[in-house]
Amino acid sequence: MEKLQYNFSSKTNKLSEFGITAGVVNSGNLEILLEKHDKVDELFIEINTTVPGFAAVWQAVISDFVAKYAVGACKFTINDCGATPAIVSLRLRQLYELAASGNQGNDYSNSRYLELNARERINALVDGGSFTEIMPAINKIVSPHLGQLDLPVEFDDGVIIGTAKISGKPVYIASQNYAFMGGAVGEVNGAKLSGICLKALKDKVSAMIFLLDSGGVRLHEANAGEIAISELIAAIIQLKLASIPVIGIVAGRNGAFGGIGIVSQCLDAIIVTENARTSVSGPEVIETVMGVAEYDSSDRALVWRTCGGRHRSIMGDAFYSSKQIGDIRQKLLELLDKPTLFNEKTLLDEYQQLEQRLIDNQNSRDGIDVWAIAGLSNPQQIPDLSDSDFMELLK
Amino acid sequence: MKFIQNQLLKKETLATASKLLEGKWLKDSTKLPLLFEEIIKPHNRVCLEGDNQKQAVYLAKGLCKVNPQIVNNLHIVQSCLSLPEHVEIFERGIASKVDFCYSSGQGARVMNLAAEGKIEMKAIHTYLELFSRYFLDLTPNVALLVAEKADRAGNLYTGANTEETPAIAEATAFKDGIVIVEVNEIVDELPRVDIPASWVDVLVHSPTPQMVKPLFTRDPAKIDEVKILMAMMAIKGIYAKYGVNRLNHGIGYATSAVELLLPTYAESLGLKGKICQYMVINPCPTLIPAIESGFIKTICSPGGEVGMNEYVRAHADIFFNGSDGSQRSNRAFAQLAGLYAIDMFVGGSLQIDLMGNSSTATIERMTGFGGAPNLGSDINARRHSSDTWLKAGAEYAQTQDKTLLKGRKLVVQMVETFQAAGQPTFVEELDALTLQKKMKMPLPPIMIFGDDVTHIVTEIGIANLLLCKDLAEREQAIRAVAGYTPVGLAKDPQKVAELHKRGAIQYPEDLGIRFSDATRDLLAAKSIKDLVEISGGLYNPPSMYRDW
Repeated sequence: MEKLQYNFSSKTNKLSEFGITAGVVNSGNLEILLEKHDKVDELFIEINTTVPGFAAVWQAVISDFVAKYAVGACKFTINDCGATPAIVSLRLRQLYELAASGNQGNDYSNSRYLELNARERINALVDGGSFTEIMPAINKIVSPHLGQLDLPVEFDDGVIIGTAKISGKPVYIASQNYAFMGGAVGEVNGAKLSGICLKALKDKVSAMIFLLDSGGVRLHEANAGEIAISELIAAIIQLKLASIPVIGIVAGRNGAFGGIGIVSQCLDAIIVTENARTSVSGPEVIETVMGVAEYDSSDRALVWRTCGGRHRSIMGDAFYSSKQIGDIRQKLLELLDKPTLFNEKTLLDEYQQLEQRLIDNQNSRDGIDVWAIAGLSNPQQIPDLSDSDFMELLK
Repeated sequence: MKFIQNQLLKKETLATASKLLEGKWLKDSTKLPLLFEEIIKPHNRVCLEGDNQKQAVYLAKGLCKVNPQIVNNLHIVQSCLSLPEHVEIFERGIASKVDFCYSSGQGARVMNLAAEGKIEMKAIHTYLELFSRYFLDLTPNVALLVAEKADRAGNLYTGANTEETPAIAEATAFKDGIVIVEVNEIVDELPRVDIPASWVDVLVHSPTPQMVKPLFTRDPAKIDEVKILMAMMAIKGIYAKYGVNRLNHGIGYATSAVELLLPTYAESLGLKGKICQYMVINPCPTLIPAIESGFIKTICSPGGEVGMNEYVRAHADIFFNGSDGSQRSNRAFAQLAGLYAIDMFVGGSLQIDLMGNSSTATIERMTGFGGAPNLGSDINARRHSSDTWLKAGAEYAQTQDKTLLKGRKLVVQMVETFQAAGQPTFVEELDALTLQKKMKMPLPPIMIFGDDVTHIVTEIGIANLLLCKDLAEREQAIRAVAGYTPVGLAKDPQKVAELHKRGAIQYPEDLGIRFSDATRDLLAAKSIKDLVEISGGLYNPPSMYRDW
């Protein structure tokens, strides 16, 4: 990592929002945090980059930006992961526009969940303007481990948590940032997840909502991550015992795997879409351990037939929704109104169902076999059905 | 008798090999290496069909198993070296010389073997040059080809991925060479005959279907705002300005972005029926929204694309399909259309120098040429006119103070200023020159020559090289769009301002385009699944592109 610092003269800004970020720490991308600076005619900028030796280019890109925009009394802190100048310019401009517009929420009604980032997903699902973030990026509570390994950090450590309302009901919500380290859980990230659950328990909110999008535990801080997952599961169980509904949405790029795959199955309910995937071991891990003849992870259609959203809904492990934000929100509202029950008996019943599933499917080699046993006709056509036809079939 | 020696040799060879055959068919597939040892003589010119997309894998594996004491020093004449076996035959001493076009995936290995002296690298061609030389001085003695289906008599169906099989078969068959074909499916009646049995000497039943790679599928999920901005600039500043209707697109994400903006952005500018009506291009899935919205009238394809066969069948008005309804492609004719009939080529590159020369070669790896140089060159042999061609020609003639004698093909490079952080696209000197010295090649491997290039589009703006009076101006126009690369940072601001005033450089704001307008919402499809839905379920993407 290389650290660069610059001061640029610039007219005093007329921005209305601070403490916000643009971009994400991901290969070829970067995160920029906007803060107030005490000198009115100066921009102070700090860059932490994975690609050393480009001070002159950074200076040129930022000079051009400063020439166009008044950013005096601003401080930018950049966590860079190899962004090209084109991307740097784009993110600087996006940050400026966000700050100038007062960070007013967009209309997400026609958006797709998959296209939105972790913060946007929350804003798209909850009542407009109701989200208040806890431990936001400006607090800069970053992973204590990544820096030691000379890896870039992100100011929210890859997860957004906070309080919000849905249809007027108070809920707490956590949204995993799939783009930072694959949404994986580390020490700070995990503490934020279990912490928000414990706060939900204390404040007796209407529901705890997880927007899951993660490959599991971060290998770079695996011990801390594994402990965090156990703490998270313990916190979820406490919420369930207190009859506070815990609902997940798995509709992002990474799905829910590893520890987060387990977490997804501990919740009262999860909502999935066609592109969702959830399981414990990832496809590549299964292939490595069991061999390609047992499971070919490059056969993506097979991966989705065995852990995809449609498979999980057919098995009764998840509620299915189309990819549109409005439909996911509608499904969420229905689940919020549904009473939950969790006790020793419900747990034993579930064990029994799982045992039966194993017996029923001892000769199944593929999702298609499982669906046939579940009594669905034309199982091989299921992946290619439209969402509406598939939901008709589920009924 | 004196001048029919090849005919006699062919008869004699096939007579000796006949003990392994039943009719034209190899009786026992385990005898494939033996068959090759009977038929292929040392120093023969052999084409082991490796096209851009499909590969004769079974025959390639068989050729690797021959005894190098019997079959050796072969001169390989084929367009693509893409299978490991294409290189293994050199390592094993079966082959020693090569004339080819492109080495996808094997570029580094080929270069190492050439440096060790195990491959005598003759020329690296464009497709049309190699196909032409098949009919002059590089006619194969033996062609090892692949077809999708055959009937008992040996008629072949090559279907959507016909590619260059007819050209190789014709050259070989009509010069007394021996044509051997692998085929997986044997049927009583073919959908249609793509290659007649009389051109085919020996058939081998392959246990697996022909290998075809989905080289032309680009996932819309990977198109970012920078590419969308560049596509908007190109549509407004070039496609609309010159009214381009006959064109070829390269296979990068920038041109995919253009394709996905046609039914949205271009249509909102009133450009339907005015641009992009006739294309030389593979049936790329990202074309589906533009086809469905009625933008495109005709597509001439050098090959097929995995998963697109049913879609193409249902769009016979657009594509070239046989009497049976399925697609027929032909790389030679499509390349000819790309050389003579298009008014614009749009492609990308890894490196561009100050004169606009571009190359995809790096010091470690050389991929060769393929078809881009045929498509991306202005051709002095063209005589027919079109408005687009004349408009570009007039712009150039005016800048040069010359009488208009000919038009110009628009040759457009669409590149981001950096390939990745620290890897500038614009360079003072191409790696191709270092490679030339290292490999002792007669010329550096330049993909598109700078003097053919008319426009360079980057995220910074458009450089119109037709409006540059001399090489010094051309250099400044290129530096102006080279952004924050060392080449771009060394621009002369005063000269750049002059060129900008004259329109030789256009920035997004000159075209009325704001960066903030360049969002993914403009894409007519945002995912592969969207393409499937827009195709009405006719596009059937390969498993590697599925996320459902």
